[in-house]
Order: sequence, then structure tokens, then C-alpha cells
Amino acid sequence: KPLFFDIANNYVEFPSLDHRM
Amino acid sequence: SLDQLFAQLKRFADEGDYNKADPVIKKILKEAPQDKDALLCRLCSLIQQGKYDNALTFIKSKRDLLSGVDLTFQESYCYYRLHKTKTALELLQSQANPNDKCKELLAQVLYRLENYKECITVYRNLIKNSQDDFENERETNLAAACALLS
Ligand SMILES: [K+]
Repeated sequence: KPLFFDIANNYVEFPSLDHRM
Repeated sequence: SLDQLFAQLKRFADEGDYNKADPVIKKILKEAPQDKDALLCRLCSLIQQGKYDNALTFIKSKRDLLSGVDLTFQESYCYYRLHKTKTALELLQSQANPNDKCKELLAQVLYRLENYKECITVYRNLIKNSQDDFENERETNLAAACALLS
């Protein structure tokens, strides 16, 4: 079975909170 | 105060420390249950903790509060991780103009459904149009699809 990455996991991100600072 | 809690949350978020962020998110939501940023942080936190069923329930229950926010990626990703791969595919394909996050997930969904031909097309498009930290991983995934197609 070839190596295969879950790249999408990296896009499970918090929203930018810059505007709350 | 809410400002202090958000400052704390941002620090943990920047460090990618989801375990420390989660209690802060809960505190914020106790004070401001409809805060969109906090709701989106909570959703992210649930997914990062692997609580995909909870995340899907959360999306359904907060859909009105988060109207105007496109949650297709988050929702499809939960279905993908729950191995409800065809549901993930249908959601992703229901979009007229999928963003790069959704294309990335679509490639993975197609791979798991053994639709290597379309998977390869999506990866070639992503590789041509992306410049980020995941170039090597993407080439590896493309190579995997090519190997299984032949
Ligand atoms: K590229």
C-alpha cells in the first residue's frame, strides 16, 4: 500500500483572531 | 474579560495547542454563546480532537448562528474521517466553485473511492496552482494514485 498523506487535516484551522486583538 | 480570553485563545491558537485552547473557548462561549469566532474555534477544536460525530452535530445546531460562513470543508472532512466517503464526495461536488481546501479533500476522497484517474487530475491541478508547505506530500499522494492506476 503506497504512502498517502492526509494533507487536508492541515486546513482544519482556527479562524484568524487578529480582529479581536 | 472577553478581550483577555480572546488574547489567551489567540496565543494557544498560534502555538497550535488545541488542548489548552479548548477550555478557553468554552469559557468564551459561556459568556458569549453566539460569538462566531468562538463557535468556529470550537468546531476546529472538536475536529482536531477527533470528535467528528460531535462536530457534525455542532455544525447542524449552529448552522443558523453561522449563516454566511461556508462550512462545507469542515463538514466534508468529518464525513471523510468517519469513512462516510460518498457523503463527503456529494457535499464537495455540490459546490460550484470549490476552494483549494475543498479540492485537497476532494483528491483524498477520490483516492479512497479508488477513482484514481480523477484523483490524479485534481492533484495535477493543485500542484500546478499551489505553492505551500505541502508540495512534497502532494507529490507523494499523486505518485500513490499513479501507482494504483497502472
Ligand atoms: K506548485
